[in-house]
Amino acid sequence: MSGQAGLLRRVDSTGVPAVLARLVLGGLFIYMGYHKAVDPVGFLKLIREYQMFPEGTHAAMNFLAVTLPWVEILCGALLVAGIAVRGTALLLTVMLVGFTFAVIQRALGIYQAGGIPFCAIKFDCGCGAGEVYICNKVAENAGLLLLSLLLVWSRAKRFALRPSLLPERRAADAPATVSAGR
Amino acid sequence: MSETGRVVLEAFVVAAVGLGVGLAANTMSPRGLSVSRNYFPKATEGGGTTQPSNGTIGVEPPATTQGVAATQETVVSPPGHAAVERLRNNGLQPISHDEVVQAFNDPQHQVDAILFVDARDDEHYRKGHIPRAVQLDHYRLERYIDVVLPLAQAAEKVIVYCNGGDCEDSEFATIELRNRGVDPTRLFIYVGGMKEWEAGGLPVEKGDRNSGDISTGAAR
Repeated sequence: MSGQAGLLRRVDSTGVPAVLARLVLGGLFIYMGYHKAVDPVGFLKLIREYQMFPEGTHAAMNFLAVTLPWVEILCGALLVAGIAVRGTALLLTVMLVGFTFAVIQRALGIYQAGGIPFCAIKFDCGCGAGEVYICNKVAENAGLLLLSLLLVWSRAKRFALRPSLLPERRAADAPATVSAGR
Repeated sequence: MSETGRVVLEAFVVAAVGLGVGLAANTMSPRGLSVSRNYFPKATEGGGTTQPSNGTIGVEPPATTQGVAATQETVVSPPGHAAVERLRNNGLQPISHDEVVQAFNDPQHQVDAILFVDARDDEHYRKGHIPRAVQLDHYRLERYIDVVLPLAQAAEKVIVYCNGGDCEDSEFATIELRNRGVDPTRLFIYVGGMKEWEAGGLPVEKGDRNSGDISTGAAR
């Protein structure tokens, strides 16, 4: 097992898997975020169809509609540029889990109401790609989730402008442990 | 700080910057939304709230009614029935295709005593609207309300429409007019909307109101 882990780390250290994951994930989120950002009214209507916001919380729904597309664009741009990679990937992981949960919940509601085969259910999920079949969407999100988890795990720094926002603590800087007599 | 803590902090920083960028972009954009405004107002005080449609569900909706002359009886297909029920449950007044055509042909329409209100956005309105209809994009109310409200308050009958079917924008526009003092008994919602109008081969005006660029579509 440790041999496999070592092999994975060696592959990771080449930087190639991480760069590919950054470009795919980053490019996709820039694309999806852009299509939502240019039509905030359309995106707001799609969010409403999920019926996640109870009466009186329209401000929260509006806030999500105006900010989420830009969070996606920013995350996509940061990944492509190789800035704050692990933190950005962690944020995207959380978002992807939330998106996938919401999409499945909505699809289950349609399934239970209409008796349509689950994988025949199709709607505009608000993902920026128009109407999609739910099973295809879940599979796609699973793939994106794997890529984002890879980036959270990866220590590769090659081809990245600033992989970590916070300065890394070097071992030499660690304070020496002194046992004081009492 | 542990490595995990640093990654989590980094995620928070990115999220915070993203939210800030989003709010700034929304403020500067002409397409920006108001965060505080309720874009989906309730139709009735203490009554049922307007529930969103579930969108398409992988099945093509049945064809809407074919265009017929005003004197013939229209048959409302199932999606129309659902929309009519929703409007009545929300205290709004649906109006049939026949009545809309009759109103369009009424001389009162030419002097805005019968007013058509198109509740769609610029792109859809300019592509084609019912001749002499004024635009009232519910999501950009401030751009249109000063022109539309006086006309609506003076009219004997106000017919609001959008695309038809599951489109709810006509309902929200109607509620906004009602909340601003237009007599609710004079407000009607054309359930079939522009789709049914065009399917009937009826005149369609392109561009601005009273542009004169009117075409008669072929019945589908």
